[in-house]
Amino acid sequence: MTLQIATDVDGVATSSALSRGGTWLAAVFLSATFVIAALFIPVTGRFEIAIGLAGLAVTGFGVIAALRTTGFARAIVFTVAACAGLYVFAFISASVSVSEGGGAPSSDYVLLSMPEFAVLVVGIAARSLARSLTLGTLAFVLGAGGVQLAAWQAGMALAVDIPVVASYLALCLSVSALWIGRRDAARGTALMSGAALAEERDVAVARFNARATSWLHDTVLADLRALAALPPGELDDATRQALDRDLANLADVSLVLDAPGLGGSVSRALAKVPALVGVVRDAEQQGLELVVTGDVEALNELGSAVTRSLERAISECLLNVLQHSGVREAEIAVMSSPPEVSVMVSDSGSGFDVNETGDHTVGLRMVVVDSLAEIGGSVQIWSRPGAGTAVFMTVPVAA
Amino acid sequence: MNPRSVRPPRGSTALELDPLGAISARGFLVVVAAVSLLCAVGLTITTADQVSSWPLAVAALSSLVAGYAWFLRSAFRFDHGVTSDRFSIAFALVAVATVLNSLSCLGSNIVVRDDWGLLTVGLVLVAAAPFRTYNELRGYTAVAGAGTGLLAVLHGFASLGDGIPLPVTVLVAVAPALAMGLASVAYARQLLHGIYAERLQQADDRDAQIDELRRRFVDDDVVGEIGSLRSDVVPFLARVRSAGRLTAEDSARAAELAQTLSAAISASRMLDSLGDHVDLLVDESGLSLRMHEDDRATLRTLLVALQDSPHTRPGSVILELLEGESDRFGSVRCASDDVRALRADVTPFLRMTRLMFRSASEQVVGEELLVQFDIDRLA
Repeated sequence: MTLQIATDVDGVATSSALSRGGTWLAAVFLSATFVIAALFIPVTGRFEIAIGLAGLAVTGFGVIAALRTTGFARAIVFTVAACAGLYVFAFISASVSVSEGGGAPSSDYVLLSMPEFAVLVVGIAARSLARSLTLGTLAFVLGAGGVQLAAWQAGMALAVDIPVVASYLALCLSVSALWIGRRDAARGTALMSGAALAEERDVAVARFNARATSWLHDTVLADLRALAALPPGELDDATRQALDRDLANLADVSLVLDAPGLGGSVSRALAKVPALVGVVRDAEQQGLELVVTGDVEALNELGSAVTRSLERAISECLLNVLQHSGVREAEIAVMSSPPEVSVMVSDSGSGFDVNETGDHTVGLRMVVVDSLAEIGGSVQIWSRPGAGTAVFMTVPVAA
Repeated sequence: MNPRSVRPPRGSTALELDPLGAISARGFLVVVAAVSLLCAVGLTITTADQVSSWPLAVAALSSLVAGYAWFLRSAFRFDHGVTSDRFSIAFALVAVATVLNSLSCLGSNIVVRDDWGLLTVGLVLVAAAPFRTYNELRGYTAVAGAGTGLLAVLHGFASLGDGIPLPVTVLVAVAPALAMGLASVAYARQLLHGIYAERLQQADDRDAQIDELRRRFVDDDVVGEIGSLRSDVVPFLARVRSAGRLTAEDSARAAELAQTLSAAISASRMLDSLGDHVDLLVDESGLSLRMHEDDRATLRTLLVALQDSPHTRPGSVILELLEGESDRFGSVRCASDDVRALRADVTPFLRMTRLMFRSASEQVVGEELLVQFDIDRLA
């Protein structure tokens, strides 16, 4: 959109990110449980633990499938499957613990708690708060409830698993907070999108209009005036050609609208390179007209420290153009030559003597040269009085 | 656009690309902070018999409170928000709380899962997911995993002598921090990719819209509608060209058509729908039409939000744009019976205005919300 601010319009990106995060969370808890339980096979010699591990694997698949699916009914089925797998694991683990004797733990012990945590996240990526809470509650009732049931059936002492109950409540709260925030953000998003699109429309139509009227003024109107001034008689070749051109363009106005610059401002062309958007916007706000060329996407490969230093350096160069060059136009050219990226900021202004110490050079030396030197970059400055200035900055891709 | 196929800039956070995401990220942070503090206080009380040093236990809680207070303060700031440096301070305070909590029960710890520090150090990473880069979070996760592992080893030797193998103790201690840390890394990475893909999609949509508008502009023959171009000028030019000669009547007709067309071109001015969103537009110098499109879109968003608010007094939204000799500035006024509620309604859009206009500010003046801004650039 015009404002160069992307928004997660319908929450798809957030849901997908929650799904990915939940997958990792569940995977770590289930893996830790799996490793610990597997360690007990050689220690106890109880090979039925392997069946429990199979149940744990089913739990893992169920949780991940529930997180990834977009269908609510399927999510419920996967959640039930995950809880069934957890029940099998809990029953076998509890049975082994009880039969091994020697201070058997109660039903809130950590080997059962960790997979319960994993199951609780099944609802976080659902596409509505109600569905999210429903799935989370289902997982809590069937998962934590199933573990208690299995422990009871195995003769294990029962205990309320406070961390699991607290985690369930915390998840409900967190998901609610996210959804409420998302609702507010969605309202803002809708307004912004509408405003930006309306603005795009106005600006585009205005540009087309301006281009068309300018063309009409310079051609058709000028030719009509020329005809009005001509004496009666045969038309000369130049007049015939002008009339042919006018009639051809009026027959296909799209030719008139193919002129460059009708697409939008410089900052809008930089959608892929957020690092430059702020710099360009600031410079435009101060009245500079910028042309950005070259392999601008190479800037996305830079490390954050390098990006920050380069942003500062480019800003300083543009500030120098504004303050000292006497012109309002500048160019930023980006060149990629791995493992380095080079950026040249140039203008065709008044220029200066690079060997002199003055206002022109202090900022460049202090900010540009020093800050880029800190991150392993280098700077070359070409300038002569009356011949413009070019600052060529080279930075390493990784620093 | 598939998020997997895009390559967002290194070192970016989702919030940098989507500032409105801060609304939900802040709410989430508040909940996580509350959960962390409740968990810490609750577990400290319920496992009080395992505390061997109350000064350390109190210091641990204090450090946790300080960490989250700093984190919340950073997140609610108007400027750069949760920067790398600010989060590193918050994380350091929470990590110190984890260490102090662990040391406070050294020698008397019964089960390592009762140590709340192992949870809160993971929770703070979950809360940080929207704010920081996934690479940073990966580093913090490694630190948290290593730290909790070391603490578990320490307890393994000092406290836990009930026959639980040390690797199991370490695994149980490390799992929460590792699980939540890796979850936050995955969340931050996926969200960044998703938002970046959305950004590119919007750019494509924008280009498509401009192409569509261009096509409609041609199909609707907007140019032909200017003056009597199609009905009079084109037939006239075609006839003269076909005849190959000019008569005295043709010259007079050409002069007449030139005059009409010139007037029509002057009358054909830029469209301006910004005034549709205000009850009064004061713009004597025609500044609205010359403003940069990003600034106009920002203003339009704010004006629509004001009109949408139930707290706005009907008919009171005024946009004033003024141009001096060397500067340009503007203001938006909106009256309300409850100005503070009105300001709360439009807070995200006020932030957006501050983001786009360098010198934007808002204040409550009597029963009015007044937003002032300088206009630094023109289209």
